[in-house]
Amino acid sequence: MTPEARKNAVRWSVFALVGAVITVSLLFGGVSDFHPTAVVRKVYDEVEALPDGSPILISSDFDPGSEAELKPMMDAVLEQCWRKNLRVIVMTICSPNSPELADSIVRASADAHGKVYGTDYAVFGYLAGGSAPILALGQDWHAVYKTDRGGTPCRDLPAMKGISKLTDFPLCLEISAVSTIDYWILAGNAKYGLKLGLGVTAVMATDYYQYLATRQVVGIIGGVSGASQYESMTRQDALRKARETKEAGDLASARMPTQSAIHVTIILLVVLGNILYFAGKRKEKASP
Amino acid sequence: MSLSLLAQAAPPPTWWEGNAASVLGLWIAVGFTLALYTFLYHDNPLFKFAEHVYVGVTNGYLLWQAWYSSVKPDLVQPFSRLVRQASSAPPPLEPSDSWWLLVPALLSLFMLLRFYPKASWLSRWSFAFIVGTTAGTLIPLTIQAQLFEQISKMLESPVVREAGAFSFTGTLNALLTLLGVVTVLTYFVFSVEHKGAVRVTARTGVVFLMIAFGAHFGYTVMGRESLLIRRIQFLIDGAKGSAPEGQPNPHYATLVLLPLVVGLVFALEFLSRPRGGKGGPEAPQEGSQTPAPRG
Repeated sequence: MTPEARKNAVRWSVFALVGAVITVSLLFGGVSDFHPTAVVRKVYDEVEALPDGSPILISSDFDPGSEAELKPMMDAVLEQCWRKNLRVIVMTICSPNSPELADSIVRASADAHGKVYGTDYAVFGYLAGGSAPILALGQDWHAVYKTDRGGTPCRDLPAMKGISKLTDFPLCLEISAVSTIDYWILAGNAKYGLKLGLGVTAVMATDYYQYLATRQVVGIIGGVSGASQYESMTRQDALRKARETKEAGDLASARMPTQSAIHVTIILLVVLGNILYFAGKRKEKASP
Repeated sequence: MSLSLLAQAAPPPTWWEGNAASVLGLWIAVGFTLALYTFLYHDNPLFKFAEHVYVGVTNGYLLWQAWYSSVKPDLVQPFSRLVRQASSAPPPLEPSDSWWLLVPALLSLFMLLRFYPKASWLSRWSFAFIVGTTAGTLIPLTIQAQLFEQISKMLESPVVREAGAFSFTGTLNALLTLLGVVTVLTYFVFSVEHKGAVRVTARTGVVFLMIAFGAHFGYTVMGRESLLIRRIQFLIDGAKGSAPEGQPNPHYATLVLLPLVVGLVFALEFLSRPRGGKGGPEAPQEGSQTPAPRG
Protein backbone atom coordinates (compact mmCIF):
# COMPACT_ATOMS: atom_id res chain seq x y z
CA MET A 1 0.00 0.00 0.00
CA THR A 2 1.41 3.39 -0.98
CA PRO A 3 1.72 6.11 1.70
CA GLU A 4 -0.98 8.09 -0.15
CA ALA A 5 -3.34 5.12 -0.12
CA ARG A 6 -2.62 4.52 3.56
CA LYS A 7 -3.38 8.16 4.33
CA ASN A 8 -6.67 7.93 2.44
CA ALA A 9 -7.59 4.70 4.20
CA VAL A 10 -7.06 6.35 7.60
CA ARG A 11 -9.06 9.41 6.52
CA TRP A 12 -11.97 7.31 5.23
CA SER A 13 -11.90 5.17 8.38
CA VAL A 14 -12.25 8.30 10.55
CA PHE A 15 -15.15 9.58 8.42
CA ALA A 16 -16.85 6.17 8.55
CA LEU A 17 -16.38 5.92 12.32
CA VAL A 18 -17.78 9.42 12.93
CA GLY A 19 -20.74 8.72 10.62
CA ALA A 20 -21.43 5.38 12.31
CA VAL A 21 -21.27 6.84 15.83
CA ILE A 22 -23.68 9.64 14.90
CA THR A 23 -26.12 7.30 13.14
CA VAL A 24 -26.18 4.73 15.95
CA SER A 25 -26.42 7.43 18.60
CA LEU A 26 -29.30 9.16 16.82
CA LEU A 27 -31.17 5.88 16.52
CA PHE A 28 -30.73 4.92 20.18
CA GLY A 29 -29.65 8.16 21.89
CA GLY A 30 -32.72 9.41 23.75
CA VAL A 31 -33.22 12.93 25.11
CA SER A 32 -30.76 14.66 27.44
CA ASP A 33 -31.68 16.68 30.51
CA PHE A 34 -29.17 19.48 30.94
CA HIS A 35 -29.18 21.94 33.79
CA PRO A 36 -28.90 25.53 32.62
CA THR A 37 -25.61 27.31 33.21
CA ALA A 38 -25.61 30.80 34.75
CA VAL A 39 -24.82 32.43 31.39
CA VAL A 40 -27.89 30.89 29.73
CA ARG A 41 -30.11 31.34 32.77
CA LYS A 42 -29.43 35.09 32.73
CA VAL A 43 -31.21 35.39 29.35
CA TYR A 44 -34.12 33.36 30.70
CA ASP A 45 -34.34 35.50 33.84
CA GLU A 46 -34.35 38.74 31.82
CA VAL A 47 -37.23 37.50 29.66
CA GLU A 48 -39.00 36.18 32.73
CA ALA A 49 -38.69 39.57 34.43
CA LEU A 50 -40.62 41.33 31.65
CA PRO A 51 -44.21 42.20 32.61
CA ASP A 52 -46.92 40.28 30.76
CA GLY A 53 -47.80 41.88 27.45
CA SER A 54 -44.45 43.66 27.05
CA PRO A 55 -42.91 43.91 23.61
CA ILE A 56 -39.73 41.98 22.92
CA LEU A 57 -37.54 42.40 19.86
CA ILE A 58 -35.93 39.36 18.25
CA SER A 59 -33.38 40.02 15.56
CA SER A 60 -33.30 36.75 13.66
CA ASP A 61 -29.97 37.04 11.87
CA PHE A 62 -29.38 33.61 10.45
CA ASP A 63 -30.15 31.70 7.29
CA PRO A 64 -30.77 28.00 6.54
CA GLY A 65 -27.05 27.22 6.87
CA SER A 66 -27.26 27.80 10.63
CA GLU A 67 -30.81 26.57 11.14
CA ALA A 68 -29.55 23.36 12.77
CA GLU A 69 -28.11 25.31 15.70
CA LEU A 70 -30.34 28.35 15.98
CA LYS A 71 -33.85 27.11 15.22
CA PRO A 72 -34.10 25.03 18.42
CA MET A 73 -32.84 28.08 20.32
CA MET A 74 -35.46 30.35 18.78
CA ASP A 75 -38.20 27.79 19.41
CA ALA A 76 -37.21 27.57 23.07
CA VAL A 77 -37.17 31.37 23.47
CA LEU A 78 -40.52 31.78 21.68
CA GLU A 79 -42.08 29.18 23.97
CA GLN A 80 -41.26 31.40 26.94
CA CYS A 81 -42.49 34.53 25.13
CA TRP A 82 -45.87 32.96 24.36
CA ARG A 83 -46.27 31.73 27.93
CA LYS A 84 -45.66 35.24 29.20
CA ASN A 85 -47.97 36.75 26.54
CA LEU A 86 -45.16 38.95 25.27
CA ARG A 87 -45.59 40.79 21.99
CA VAL A 88 -42.89 39.33 19.76
CA ILE A 89 -41.48 41.57 17.04
CA VAL A 90 -39.06 39.88 14.64
CA MET A 91 -36.69 41.64 12.25
CA THR A 92 -33.42 40.89 10.47
CA ILE A 93 -30.30 42.71 9.27
CA CYS A 94 -28.36 39.62 8.24
CA SER A 95 -29.37 38.52 4.77
CA PRO A 96 -32.30 38.84 2.36
CA ASN A 97 -33.08 35.15 2.85
CA SER A 98 -33.38 35.39 6.63
CA PRO A 99 -36.93 36.82 6.96
CA GLU A 100 -38.49 33.87 5.13
CA LEU A 101 -36.93 31.43 7.58
CA ALA A 102 -37.71 33.59 10.61
CA ASP A 103 -41.30 33.98 9.44
CA SER A 104 -41.79 30.22 9.09
CA ILE A 105 -40.27 29.49 12.52
CA VAL A 106 -42.31 32.14 14.34
CA ARG A 107 -45.57 31.30 12.55
CA ALA A 108 -45.24 27.56 13.27
CA SER A 109 -44.55 28.25 16.94
CA ALA A 110 -47.29 30.89 17.20
CA ASP A 111 -49.88 28.68 15.50
CA ALA A 112 -49.12 25.89 17.96
CA HIS A 113 -49.92 28.30 20.81
CA GLY A 114 -52.95 29.96 19.20
CA LYS A 115 -51.22 33.32 18.85
CA VAL A 116 -52.56 35.80 16.31
CA TYR A 117 -50.42 37.59 13.75
CA GLY A 118 -50.53 41.35 14.14
CA THR A 119 -51.77 41.21 17.73
CA ASP A 120 -49.34 38.86 19.44
CA TYR A 121 -46.47 39.02 16.99
CA ALA A 122 -45.24 40.68 13.82
CA VAL A 123 -42.47 39.93 11.36
CA PHE A 124 -40.56 42.68 9.59
CA GLY A 125 -38.36 42.31 6.53
CA TYR A 126 -34.66 42.54 5.85
CA LEU A 127 -32.81 45.82 6.33
CA ALA A 128 -29.53 46.28 4.48
CA GLY A 129 -26.68 48.42 5.77
CA GLY A 130 -25.29 46.74 8.91
CA SER A 131 -25.30 49.26 11.74
CA ALA A 132 -27.09 52.01 9.76
CA PRO A 133 -30.62 50.56 10.15
CA ILE A 134 -30.07 50.04 13.89
CA LEU A 135 -29.01 53.67 14.29
CA ALA A 136 -32.05 54.75 12.28
CA LEU A 137 -34.46 52.49 14.21
CA GLY A 138 -33.17 54.10 17.38
CA GLN A 139 -34.47 57.44 16.15
CA ASP A 140 -37.75 56.49 14.49
CA TRP A 141 -38.92 52.92 13.95
CA HIS A 142 -41.81 53.94 11.70
CA ALA A 143 -39.57 55.91 9.34
CA VAL A 144 -37.52 52.78 8.67
CA TYR A 145 -40.17 50.06 8.79
CA LYS A 146 -43.26 51.63 7.29
CA THR A 147 -44.89 48.22 6.83
CA ASP A 148 -44.38 44.70 8.05
CA ARG A 149 -43.22 41.91 5.75
CA GLY A 150 -46.73 41.38 4.39
CA GLY A 151 -47.26 45.07 3.59
CA THR A 152 -49.51 45.93 6.56
CA PRO A 153 -48.78 49.49 7.73
CA CYS A 154 -46.76 49.40 10.93
CA ARG A 155 -49.22 51.69 12.75
CA ASP A 156 -52.08 49.27 12.06
CA LEU A 157 -50.42 46.42 13.95
CA PRO A 158 -51.66 46.14 17.57
CA ALA A 159 -48.42 44.32 18.44
CA MET A 160 -46.55 47.57 17.71
CA LYS A 161 -48.61 49.65 20.11
CA GLY A 162 -46.43 52.08 22.07
CA ILE A 163 -43.33 51.43 20.00
CA SER A 164 -41.88 54.37 18.14
CA LYS A 165 -38.15 53.69 18.51
CA LEU A 166 -35.72 50.95 19.42
CA THR A 167 -35.45 51.82 23.09
CA ASP A 168 -39.19 51.24 23.56
CA PHE A 169 -38.27 47.56 23.62
CA PRO A 170 -37.23 46.58 27.16
CA LEU A 171 -35.17 43.71 25.74
CA CYS A 172 -33.70 42.67 22.40
CA LEU A 173 -32.60 39.12 21.68
CA GLU A 174 -30.09 38.86 18.88
CA ILE A 175 -30.17 35.29 17.53
CA SER A 176 -27.33 35.29 15.08
CA ALA A 177 -24.85 33.27 13.07
CA VAL A 178 -22.92 36.25 11.74
CA SER A 179 -21.15 39.38 12.96
CA THR A 180 -24.38 41.42 13.09
CA ILE A 181 -23.98 40.99 16.85
CA ASP A 182 -21.19 43.58 16.75
CA TYR A 183 -23.58 46.05 15.13
CA TRP A 184 -26.14 45.43 17.86
CA ILE A 185 -23.54 45.88 20.61
CA LEU A 186 -22.13 49.05 19.03
CA ALA A 187 -25.23 50.72 17.63
CA GLY A 188 -27.92 49.18 19.85
CA ASN A 189 -26.27 48.93 23.24
CA ALA A 190 -23.43 51.48 23.20
CA LYS A 191 -25.39 54.16 21.36
CA TYR A 192 -28.91 53.72 22.77
CA GLY A 193 -28.39 51.58 25.86
CA LEU A 194 -30.60 48.80 24.49
CA LYS A 195 -30.63 45.74 26.75
CA LEU A 196 -29.23 42.88 24.70
CA GLY A 197 -29.34 39.08 25.06
CA LEU A 198 -27.47 36.84 22.63
CA GLY A 199 -28.23 33.52 20.99
CA VAL A 200 -25.24 32.50 18.88
CA THR A 201 -23.72 29.53 17.07
CA ALA A 202 -21.13 27.59 19.05
CA VAL A 203 -18.33 28.88 16.83
CA MET A 204 -19.08 32.46 17.89
CA ALA A 205 -19.89 31.95 21.56
CA THR A 206 -16.43 32.55 23.00
CA ASP A 207 -16.08 35.83 21.10
CA TYR A 208 -18.79 37.49 23.18
CA TYR A 209 -18.10 36.36 26.74
CA GLN A 210 -16.11 39.56 27.32
CA TYR A 211 -19.35 41.55 27.13
CA LEU A 212 -20.95 39.60 29.97
CA ALA A 213 -18.88 41.03 32.80
CA THR A 214 -19.49 44.59 31.60
CA ARG A 215 -23.24 43.88 31.32
CA GLN A 216 -23.18 45.01 27.68
CA VAL A 217 -25.03 41.76 27.04
CA VAL A 218 -27.22 40.17 29.69
CA GLY A 219 -26.52 36.55 28.77
CA ILE A 220 -25.46 34.18 26.00
CA ILE A 221 -27.12 31.06 24.63
CA GLY A 222 -24.33 29.27 22.79
CA GLY A 223 -24.95 26.60 20.16
CA VAL A 224 -27.04 23.47 20.49
CA SER A 225 -25.77 23.00 24.02
CA GLY A 226 -27.13 26.41 25.03
CA ALA A 227 -30.39 25.71 23.22
CA SER A 228 -30.69 22.42 25.08
CA GLN A 229 -30.22 24.23 28.41
CA TYR A 230 -32.89 26.77 27.47
CA GLU A 231 -35.24 23.95 26.47
CA SER A 232 -34.83 22.45 29.93
CA MET A 233 -36.40 25.64 31.31
CA THR A 234 -39.07 26.39 28.71
CA ARG A 235 -39.99 23.18 26.87
CA GLN A 236 -40.44 20.63 29.64
CA ASP A 237 -43.69 19.34 28.08
CA ALA A 238 -42.08 18.82 24.69
CA LEU A 239 -39.11 17.06 26.31
CA ARG A 240 -41.41 14.77 28.30
CA LYS A 241 -43.41 13.95 25.18
CA ALA A 242 -40.21 13.28 23.22
CA ARG A 243 -39.00 10.86 25.90
CA GLU A 244 -42.32 9.01 25.86
CA THR A 245 -42.89 8.84 22.09
CA LYS A 246 -39.23 8.71 20.97
CA GLU A 247 -40.17 11.36 18.38
CA ALA A 248 -37.75 14.20 19.12
CA GLY A 249 -38.52 16.51 16.20
CA ASP A 250 -36.29 19.58 16.24
CA LEU A 251 -35.41 19.50 19.94
CA ALA A 252 -31.78 20.36 20.69
CA SER A 253 -31.89 18.08 23.75
CA ALA A 254 -32.43 15.11 21.45
CA ARG A 255 -29.14 15.85 19.71
CA MET A 256 -27.04 16.30 22.82
CA PRO A 257 -26.47 12.57 23.54
CA THR A 258 -25.15 12.27 19.98
CA GLN A 259 -23.06 15.39 20.49
CA SER A 260 -21.54 13.84 23.63
CA ALA A 261 -20.91 10.52 21.87
CA ILE A 262 -19.12 12.21 18.99
CA HIS A 263 -17.11 14.38 21.40
CA VAL A 264 -15.85 11.26 23.18
CA THR A 265 -15.04 9.64 19.82
CA ILE A 266 -13.06 12.68 18.67
CA ILE A 267 -11.16 12.88 21.97
CA LEU A 268 -10.26 9.19 21.67
CA LEU A 269 -9.18 9.71 18.06
CA VAL A 270 -7.00 12.67 19.07
CA VAL A 271 -5.37 10.58 21.84
CA LEU A 272 -4.88 7.65 19.45
CA GLY A 273 -3.42 9.95 16.80
CA ASN A 274 -0.93 11.36 19.30
CA ILE A 275 0.09 7.88 20.50
CA LEU A 276 0.67 6.75 16.91
CA TYR A 277 2.58 9.94 16.13
CA PHE A 278 4.96 9.60 19.07
CA ALA A 279 5.31 5.85 18.52
CA GLY A 280 6.30 6.58 14.92
CA LYS A 281 8.83 9.17 16.03
CA ARG A 282 10.37 6.75 18.52
CA LYS A 283 10.58 4.08 15.82
CA GLU A 284 12.22 6.59 13.51
CA LYS A 285 14.82 7.44 16.16
CA ALA A 286 15.48 3.79 16.96
CA SER A 287 16.07 2.84 13.31
CA PRO A 288 19.70 3.37 12.20
CA MET B 1 -67.91 32.12 7.56
CA SER B 2 -67.16 33.95 4.32
CA LEU B 3 -63.53 32.83 4.58
CA SER B 4 -64.51 29.17 4.92
CA LEU B 5 -66.82 29.53 1.92
CA LEU B 6 -63.97 31.05 -0.05
CA ALA B 7 -61.69 28.22 0.99
CA GLN B 8 -64.27 25.67 -0.13
CA ALA B 9 -64.67 27.44 -3.46
CA ALA B 10 -60.91 27.64 -4.05
CA PRO B 11 -59.58 25.20 -6.67
CA PRO B 12 -57.57 22.22 -5.38
CA PRO B 13 -53.81 22.80 -5.39
CA THR B 14 -51.93 21.71 -8.50
CA TRP B 15 -49.15 19.13 -8.10
CA TRP B 16 -46.44 21.75 -7.70
CA GLU B 17 -48.29 23.32 -4.80
CA GLY B 18 -49.37 20.12 -3.05
CA ASN B 19 -47.88 17.09 -1.36
CA ALA B 20 -46.26 15.76 -4.55
CA ALA B 21 -44.06 18.87 -4.73
CA SER B 22 -43.02 18.45 -1.08
CA VAL B 23 -42.09 14.82 -1.68
CA LEU B 24 -40.14 15.74 -4.82
CA GLY B 25 -38.38 18.53 -2.90
CA LEU B 26 -37.48 16.09 -0.15
CA TRP B 27 -36.02 13.59 -2.64
CA ILE B 28 -33.98 16.34 -4.29
CA ALA B 29 -32.70 17.49 -0.87
CA VAL B 30 -31.73 13.92 0.10
CA GLY B 31 -30.07 13.35 -3.28
CA PHE B 32 -28.06 16.55 -3.11
CA THR B 33 -27.03 15.96 0.51
CA LEU B 34 -25.67 12.54 -0.42
CA ALA B 35 -24.00 13.92 -3.56
CA LEU B 36 -22.24 16.61 -1.51
CA TYR B 37 -21.02 14.08 1.05
CA THR B 38 -19.37 12.04 -1.72
CA PHE B 39 -16.57 14.59 -1.43
CA LEU B 40 -15.51 12.72 1.70
CA TYR B 41 -14.45 9.89 -0.63
CA HIS B 42 -12.78 12.29 -3.04
CA ASP B 43 -13.55 15.08 -5.46
CA ASN B 44 -15.81 13.75 -8.22
CA PRO B 45 -18.15 14.98 -11.00
CA LEU B 46 -21.29 14.26 -8.98
CA PHE B 47 -20.04 16.44 -6.12
CA LYS B 48 -19.06 19.15 -8.60
CA PHE B 49 -22.56 19.07 -10.12
CA ALA B 50 -24.26 19.32 -6.71
CA GLU B 51 -21.87 22.08 -5.62
CA HIS B 52 -22.50 24.17 -8.75
CA VAL B 53 -26.27 23.75 -8.56
CA TYR B 54 -26.20 24.71 -4.87
CA VAL B 55 -24.16 27.86 -5.48
CA GLY B 56 -26.31 28.83 -8.48
CA VAL B 57 -29.63 28.29 -6.74
CA THR B 58 -28.47 30.09 -3.59
CA ASN B 59 -27.30 33.13 -5.51
CA GLY B 60 -30.39 33.20 -7.68
CA TYR B 61 -32.62 33.00 -4.62
CA LEU B 62 -30.62 35.70 -2.80
CA LEU B 63 -30.83 38.00 -5.81
CA TRP B 64 -34.58 37.49 -6.05
CA GLN B 65 -35.01 38.12 -2.32
CA ALA B 66 -32.80 41.23 -2.43
CA TRP B 67 -34.84 42.60 -5.32
CA TYR B 68 -38.20 42.06 -3.62
CA SER B 69 -37.16 42.95 -0.09
CA SER B 70 -34.90 45.94 -0.72
CA VAL B 71 -34.40 47.24 -4.24
CA LYS B 72 -38.03 47.20 -5.39
CA PRO B 73 -39.77 48.63 -2.28
CA ASP B 74 -36.99 51.04 -1.29
CA LEU B 75 -35.91 52.36 -4.67
CA VAL B 76 -37.95 51.30 -7.69
CA GLN B 77 -41.43 51.86 -6.24
CA PRO B 78 -40.69 55.30 -4.71
CA PHE B 79 -39.17 56.38 -8.03
CA SER B 80 -42.08 55.12 -10.08
CA ARG B 81 -44.46 56.99 -7.74
CA LEU B 82 -42.32 60.07 -8.16
CA VAL B 83 -42.39 59.83 -11.93
CA ARG B 84 -46.18 59.34 -11.91
CA GLN B 85 -46.62 62.36 -9.64
CA ALA B 86 -44.32 64.51 -11.76
CA SER B 87 -46.12 63.61 -14.95
CA SER B 88 -49.63 64.06 -13.51
CA ALA B 89 -51.52 67.29 -14.15
CA PRO B 90 -51.88 69.27 -12.00
CA PRO B 91 -48.64 68.50 -10.09
CA PRO B 92 -48.92 67.73 -6.34
CA LEU B 93 -49.03 70.69 -3.95
CA GLU B 94 -46.30 69.28 -1.66
CA PRO B 95 -42.99 68.35 -3.24
CA SER B 96 -41.98 64.71 -2.83
CA ASP B 97 -39.05 63.87 -0.57
CA SER B 98 -37.98 60.87 -2.66
CA TRP B 99 -35.63 62.78 -4.94
CA TRP B 100 -32.78 62.23 -2.49
CA LEU B 101 -32.95 58.53 -3.43
CA LEU B 102 -31.11 59.51 -6.61
CA VAL B 103 -27.91 59.73 -4.55
CA PRO B 104 -27.81 56.09 -3.34
CA ALA B 105 -29.15 54.95 -6.72
CA LEU B 106 -26.27 56.65 -8.52
CA LEU B 107 -23.71 55.42 -5.99
CA SER B 108 -25.01 51.86 -6.50
CA LEU B 109 -24.69 52.20 -10.26
CA PHE B 110 -21.17 53.56 -9.85
CA MET B 111 -20.18 50.36 -8.02
CA LEU B 112 -21.25 48.32 -11.03
CA LEU B 113 -19.00 50.45 -13.21
CA ARG B 114 -16.01 48.52 -11.90
CA PHE B 115 -16.72 46.16 -14.79
CA TYR B 116 -16.26 49.03 -17.30
CA PRO B 117 -12.56 50.07 -17.09
CA LYS B 118 -13.01 53.53 -18.62
CA ALA B 119 -15.43 54.61 -15.88
CA SER B 120 -14.33 52.31 -13.05
CA TRP B 121 -12.84 55.28 -11.17
CA LEU B 122 -16.41 56.36 -10.33
CA SER B 123 -16.77 53.28 -8.12
CA ARG B 124 -14.25 54.87 -5.75
CA TRP B 125 -16.86 57.49 -4.87
CA SER B 126 -19.21 54.74 -3.71
CA PHE B 127 -16.52 53.01 -1.69
CA ALA B 128 -15.37 56.32 -0.24
CA PHE B 129 -18.93 57.04 0.88
CA ILE B 130 -19.33 53.58 2.47
CA VAL B 131 -15.94 53.64 4.19
CA GLY B 132 -16.41 57.23 5.35
CA THR B 133 -19.89 56.82 6.81
CA THR B 134 -19.05 53.48 8.43
CA ALA B 135 -15.86 54.84 9.99
CA GLY B 136 -17.60 58.02 11.11
CA THR B 137 -20.44 56.24 12.84
CA LEU B 138 -18.69 53.14 14.16
CA ILE B 139 -15.22 54.27 15.28
CA PRO B 140 -16.50 56.35 18.24
CA LEU B 141 -18.93 53.58 19.19
CA THR B 142 -16.22 50.93 18.91
CA ILE B 143 -13.93 52.91 21.19
CA GLN B 144 -16.74 53.30 23.68
CA ALA B 145 -18.02 49.71 23.58
CA GLN B 146 -14.82 47.74 23.13
CA LEU B 147 -12.25 49.92 24.88
CA PHE B 148 -13.73 52.25 27.51
CA GLU B 149 -16.35 49.81 28.80
CA GLN B 150 -13.85 46.94 29.02
CA ILE B 151 -11.12 49.06 30.65
CA SER B 152 -13.48 50.66 33.16
CA LYS B 153 -14.62 47.19 34.26
CA MET B 154 -10.99 46.22 34.78
CA LEU B 155 -10.47 49.25 37.03
CA GLU B 156 -13.28 48.23 39.37
CA SER B 157 -12.56 46.35 42.58
CA PRO B 158 -12.25 42.61 41.91
CA VAL B 159 -14.17 41.84 45.10
CA VAL B 160 -17.63 40.95 43.84
CA ARG B 161 -20.76 41.24 45.94
CA GLU B 162 -24.05 39.71 44.88
CA ALA B 163 -27.23 40.79 46.71
CA GLY B 164 -25.05 42.48 49.33
CA ALA B 165 -23.07 39.34 50.18
CA PHE B 166 -19.52 38.42 49.22
CA SER B 167 -19.46 36.14 46.17
CA PHE B 168 -16.52 33.72 46.13
CA THR B 169 -17.03 32.50 42.55
CA GLY B 170 -17.65 36.03 41.29
CA THR B 171 -14.49 37.32 42.95
CA LEU B 172 -12.42 34.37 41.71
CA ASN B 173 -13.74 34.98 38.20
CA ALA B 174 -12.87 38.69 38.39
CA LEU B 175 -9.36 37.95 39.72
CA LEU B 176 -8.71 35.39 36.98
CA THR B 177 -9.93 37.87 34.34
CA LEU B 178 -7.64 40.56 35.75
CA LEU B 179 -4.68 38.17 35.85
CA GLY B 180 -5.44 37.06 32.28
CA VAL B 181 -5.63 40.61 30.94
CA VAL B 182 -2.39 41.70 32.62
CA THR B 183 -0.37 38.62 31.64
CA VAL B 184 -1.62 38.48 28.04
CA LEU B 185 -0.93 42.18 27.55
CA THR B 186 2.57 41.63 28.95
CA TYR B 187 3.14 38.88 26.39
CA PHE B 188 2.47 41.42 23.63
CA VAL B 189 4.90 44.00 25.03
CA PHE B 190 7.90 43.66 22.73
CA SER B 191 9.82 46.77 23.77
CA VAL B 192 11.06 45.01 26.94
CA GLU B 193 13.13 41.85 26.82
CA HIS B 194 11.20 38.85 28.12
CA LYS B 195 13.40 37.69 31.00
CA GLY B 196 13.04 37.38 34.73
CA ALA B 197 9.61 38.47 36.08
CA VAL B 198 8.49 39.70 32.66
CA ARG B 199 9.20 36.27 31.20
CA VAL B 200 7.18 34.51 33.90
CA THR B 201 4.29 36.93 33.40
CA ALA B 202 4.42 36.56 29.61
CA ARG B 203 4.53 32.75 29.85
CA THR B 204 1.48 32.87 32.13
CA GLY B 205 -0.17 34.99 29.42
CA VAL B 206 0.61 32.26 26.89
CA VAL B 207 -1.20 29.75 29.11
CA PHE B 208 -4.27 32.00 29.17
CA LEU B 209 -4.07 32.37 25.38
CA MET B 210 -3.84 28.60 24.92
CA ILE B 211 -6.86 28.06 27.15
CA ALA B 212 -8.78 30.67 25.13
CA PHE B 213 -7.78 29.08 21.81
CA GLY B 214 -8.69 25.64 23.18
CA ALA B 215 -12.13 26.81 24.28
CA HIS B 216 -12.65 28.45 20.91
CA PHE B 217 -11.56 25.33 19.06
CA GLY B 218 -13.78 23.12 21.24
CA TYR B 219 -16.79 25.31 20.53
CA THR B 220 -15.95 25.31 16.81
CA VAL B 221 -15.82 21.51 16.72
CA MET B 222 -19.13 21.41 18.59
CA GLY B 223 -20.71 23.76 16.05
CA ARG B 224 -19.56 21.68 13.10
CA GLU B 225 -20.75 18.51 14.80
CA SER B 226 -24.18 20.05 15.30
CA LEU B 227 -24.49 20.72 11.58
CA LEU B 228 -23.36 17.19 10.70
CA ILE B 229 -25.74 15.65 13.25
CA ARG B 230 -28.68 17.59 11.79
CA ARG B 231 -27.80 16.46 8.26
CA ILE B 232 -27.52 12.81 9.27
CA GLN B 233 -30.77 13.14 11.22
CA PHE B 234 -32.33 14.45 7.99
CA LEU B 235 -31.00 11.42 6.06
CA ILE B 236 -32.28 9.03 8.73
CA ASP B 237 -35.73 10.66 8.58
CA GLY B 238 -35.53 10.39 4.79
CA ALA B 239 -35.01 6.63 5.07
CA LYS B 240 -38.42 6.14 6.67
CA GLY B 241 -41.61 5.09 4.91
CA SER B 242 -43.83 7.42 6.92
CA ALA B 243 -43.75 10.92 8.37
CA PRO B 244 -45.43 12.85 11.20
CA GLU B 245 -48.69 14.58 10.35
CA GLY B 246 -48.26 17.65 8.18
CA GLN B 247 -44.89 16.58 6.80
CA PRO B 248 -44.25 14.90 3.44
CA ASN B 249 -43.70 11.14 3.38
CA PRO B 250 -40.11 10.52 2.22
CA HIS B 251 -40.97 7.07 0.78
CA TYR B 252 -37.55 5.61 1.70
CA ALA B 253 -35.71 8.33 -0.28
CA THR B 254 -32.34 7.75 1.46
CA LEU B 255 -32.50 3.98 1.05
CA VAL B 256 -33.21 4.33 -2.67
CA LEU B 257 -30.82 7.19 -3.42
CA LEU B 258 -27.81 6.06 -1.34
CA PRO B 259 -26.92 3.05 -3.54
CA LEU B 260 -27.70 5.10 -6.64
CA VAL B 261 -25.33 7.91 -5.62
CA VAL B 262 -22.58 5.51 -4.54
CA GLY B 263 -22.99 3.51 -7.79
CA LEU B 264 -22.89 6.70 -9.85
CA VAL B 265 -19.68 7.91 -8.18
CA PHE B 266 -17.92 4.60 -8.90
CA ALA B 267 -19.33 4.41 -12.43
CA LEU B 268 -18.10 7.93 -13.20
CA GLU B 269 -14.72 7.07 -11.73
CA PHE B 270 -14.54 3.92 -13.83
CA LEU B 271 -15.47 5.84 -16.99
CA SER B 272 -12.90 8.56 -16.30
CA ARG B 273 -10.02 6.06 -16.01
CA PRO B 274 -7.58 6.09 -18.90
CA ARG B 275 -8.02 3.05 -21.11
CA GLY B 276 -5.47 0.27 -20.52
CA GLY B 277 -4.22 1.71 -17.21
CA LYS B 278 -4.90 1.14 -13.55
CA GLY B 279 -6.14 4.60 -12.55
CA GLY B 280 -8.23 5.45 -9.54
CA PRO B 281 -8.00 7.75 -6.64
CA GLU B 282 -5.23 5.85 -4.92
CA ALA B 283 -2.79 6.01 -7.80
CA PRO B 284 -3.83 8.71 -10.26
CA GLN B 285 -2.15 8.33 -13.65
CA GLU B 286 -0.56 11.20 -15.41
CA GLY B 287 -3.21 12.93 -17.53
CA SER B 288 -6.04 11.11 -15.73
CA GLN B 289 -9.33 12.96 -15.43
CA THR B 290 -9.71 11.75 -11.86
CA PRO B 291 -8.41 14.46 -9.52
CA ALA B 292 -6.14 13.48 -6.68
CA PRO B 293 -7.80 13.25 -3.27
CA ARG B 294 -7.63 16.35 -1.12
CA GLY B 295 -5.83 16.00 2.18
